[in-house]
Amino acid sequence: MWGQIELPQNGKVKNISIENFSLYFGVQEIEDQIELSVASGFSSPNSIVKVKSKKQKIELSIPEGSWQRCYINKSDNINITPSYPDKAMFVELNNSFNLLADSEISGWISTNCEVSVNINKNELMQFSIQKPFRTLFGSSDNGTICRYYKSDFTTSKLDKNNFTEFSIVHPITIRNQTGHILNVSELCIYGDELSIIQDTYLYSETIVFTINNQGTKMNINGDCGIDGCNQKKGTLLVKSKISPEERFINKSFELFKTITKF
Amino acid sequence: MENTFDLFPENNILSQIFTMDTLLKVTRIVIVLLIGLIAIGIIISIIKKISKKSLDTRTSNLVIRCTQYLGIALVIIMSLQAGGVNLTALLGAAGIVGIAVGFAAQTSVSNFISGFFLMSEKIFTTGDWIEVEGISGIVYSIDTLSVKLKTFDNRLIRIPNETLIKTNVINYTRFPVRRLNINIVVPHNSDIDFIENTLQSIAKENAYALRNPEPFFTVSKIADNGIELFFGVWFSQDDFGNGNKSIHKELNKRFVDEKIQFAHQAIAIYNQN
Repeated sequence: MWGQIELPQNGKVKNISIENFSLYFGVQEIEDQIELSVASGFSSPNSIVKVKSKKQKIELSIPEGSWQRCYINKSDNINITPSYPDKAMFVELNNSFNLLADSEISGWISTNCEVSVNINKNELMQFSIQKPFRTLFGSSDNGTICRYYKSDFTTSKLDKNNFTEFSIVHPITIRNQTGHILNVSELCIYGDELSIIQDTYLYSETIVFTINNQGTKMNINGDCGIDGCNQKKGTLLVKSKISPEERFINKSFELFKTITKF
Repeated sequence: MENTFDLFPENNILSQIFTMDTLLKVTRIVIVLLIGLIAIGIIISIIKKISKKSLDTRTSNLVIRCTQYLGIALVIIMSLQAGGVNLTALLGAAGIVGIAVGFAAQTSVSNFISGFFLMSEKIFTTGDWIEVEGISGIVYSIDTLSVKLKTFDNRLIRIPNETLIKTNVINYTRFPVRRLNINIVVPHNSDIDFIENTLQSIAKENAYALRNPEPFFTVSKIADNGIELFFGVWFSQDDFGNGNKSIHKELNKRFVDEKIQFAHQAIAIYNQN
């Protein structure tokens, strides 16, 4: 599924279907360059590709405005990769639970990936394979708009039947340092800080939430102890947008700001 | 006074004006003006850099303007002193002129001071969508005496700062989310639970509507012409326009499909015979 794709012949359209989501690639050769048209749709349209011989125009039952066009060189590589949405991911847990004071729990949740079309490793466009919903995380005066997901929080072994090839497993550790019982019903994850690795499943690094009276901190831990998400065997499909060095500098700066406040 | 050399013939009016002394005074004035203006330029560019980082656009503009006016006034005073002008008499006259100008420029001064109050309240900034006295638009610029709004039909409207202090100002884009309020009136014999479920499912299936905060439904009152319902759906500021359109379109479609009727104003007339 993921990786380099071969473009269709001049004047034709290629369809890549992912569940009920379809990606269409249209090609028009113009001398040394290619006019690449990409469109997406949730239900597969009963389309017949027509090529007008004079104008060499691709016709599909997809509205004209839905096509996104760009000009590329014939030698450019086009590949499809999973990706995270540009917004933070808010995961509402189907099974909220109480976490005792000064204890921690490890398990996993899952979200659906987005599909990115890249040209020579540069992202050209991104599509959602499911209808995207939004939600607010935080208060109505200074909260953040996030993508909305629902997931189980599971501590048992991963079961293949629970996933599609577009689910990303997020190993989670939650530490309760508030000194009282904590109800865990939702988690907010920042995709910019996470990679996507492929083994049996698509998965990210372990995310450690430390909750104390000052608030919640999200840390990334590379060590993933879940069967089927083996970091040594897995292939890195997408690197995190924020490198560990950048993350370290940001954290140091935050610490510096906190110290200087006192 | 004797000059070492004469530029103009003796007893000529020009010889009395263009003396060496005048030339020296003019040179001194020009030097003071030049140095003063360069100094103001440097100070303002430093303030601009500092205020860009630490202050909002409005405050930064106001600080820059005040520094400009103060600096120019100082340079003028210094250059007059360099020219040997007696400032005591001039300041006395300036005081009288100041009072006269003060009376004449009451509105401008009021607007200027109102600008400071607005600045301290921080109720809006450039790019916000505000409404003042029924005029709605995007804040285009915030100046010393007024705020300029760009309306949605591309008109520029100037609102004096004083007006903004005196009247109610609505800022639509201050917070990240906004609720769309929908008021519906249905006939008295309607199934309210069914209508509530329909409305909730419309919001749930809408891609722009936020899942949290949850949509809010209530029965406002039982009026003469029907039951007044209220339904509030939350959207992010960026999606409000699209959300408004899509929710109303879907609501109308679903009400037609589900045969839910809207109540109309009706008068029952009874004939006693």
